[in-house]
Amino acid sequence: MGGGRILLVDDDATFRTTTAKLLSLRGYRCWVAADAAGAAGALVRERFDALVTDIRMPDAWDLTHLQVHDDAGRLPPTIVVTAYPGVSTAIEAVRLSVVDYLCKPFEIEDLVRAVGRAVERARLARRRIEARARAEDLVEALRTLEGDPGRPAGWSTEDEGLGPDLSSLSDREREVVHALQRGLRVAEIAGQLHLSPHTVRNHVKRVFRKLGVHSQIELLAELR
Amino acid sequence: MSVLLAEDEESVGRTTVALFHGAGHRCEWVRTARDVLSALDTGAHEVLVTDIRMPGGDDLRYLAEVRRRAPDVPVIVVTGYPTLPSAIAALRLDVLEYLVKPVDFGVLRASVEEALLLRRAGARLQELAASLARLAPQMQAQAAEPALSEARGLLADIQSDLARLRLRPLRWAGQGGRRGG
Repeated sequence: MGGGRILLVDDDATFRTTTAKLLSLRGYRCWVAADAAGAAGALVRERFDALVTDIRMPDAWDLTHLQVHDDAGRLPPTIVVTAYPGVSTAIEAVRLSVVDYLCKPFEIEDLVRAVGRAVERARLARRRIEARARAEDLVEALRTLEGDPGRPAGWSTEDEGLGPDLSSLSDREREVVHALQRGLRVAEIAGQLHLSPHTVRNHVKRVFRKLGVHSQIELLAELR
Repeated sequence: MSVLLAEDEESVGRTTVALFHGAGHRCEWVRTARDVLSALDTGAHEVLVTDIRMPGGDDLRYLAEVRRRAPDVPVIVVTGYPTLPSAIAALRLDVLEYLVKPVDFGVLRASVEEALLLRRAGARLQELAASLARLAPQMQAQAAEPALSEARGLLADIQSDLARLRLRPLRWAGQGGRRGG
């Protein structure tokens, strides 16, 4: 298992390597990114238990970017490290539920403690997401049990062959449908397929139209 | 719904209480740090909206004490004197929002409602999930209308909770989460 997966984002190479080495010694696995593109790519591709990030880099990686990843549901618990502390970024950091805001130079033990808190928070968040997913499953199960009036309650689409015909869908639309079946939410699908949430929603709408359903629940019930 | 408002400025306090009442929230108003702590001890409040410069308290110690005594109560800080140390202390203490005066009531209200939702959501979802699990077999056995209508009610509740929570991920790591989830 190890202690957790940490992404370090800083344009300062010395900071990156020394911090990564130090955290590795404490049992964490570290990934590093030196610029905004690297950081964004890593956040989209991988899942981390904590992000340690500078918020002032030459290519303008800042709290606004963090907000974007947060909106997409893929911002891990975050620790801000900065040589330019300011009230306004600290206030924004509160809103982003940043775990800690450390002013460079800081005591390394402060960072280690903050990373420990971040990883613990990630673990709690995962537990909550699982609980929510279980609740959503139950909701769907009940919807199916309620059934639509034309079909006896509790019966599946057994006598209708393999369910709705997906051949009218584009490849992309099928990918979205499969992701929905796996219980992913729009923001997560957008992250995985490298699309904006808006685009994903449009795909979903087209799928509804093509299959003649009116909601995600109806769609999933059809596919069951 | 009950909001605890800590505000030592008379006019701000009066207006804010009136606005909360107008928005359909019960709101108790106290004026000193000591009164906040004793009000929290009653356990009657679901969210704290607090100034951090009040008579009878060092801002940061006060905030830490609030979190220690009532870890399940989400805190929204409202201040006319934003500072770097207090903002950093606020985020370390898992404060939900740090708002700078003058605060638009719409913003405050939205923050409070989100805080209430977060506080209730975890426990509530589990409770609903348990009820749904209990009801499902009855429904399958066609045991009828009462179970069905109870389930429909729960379904509506749980769905509106889920829909609203999706607006902001469940990031808040208050102690409530530990207990509830």
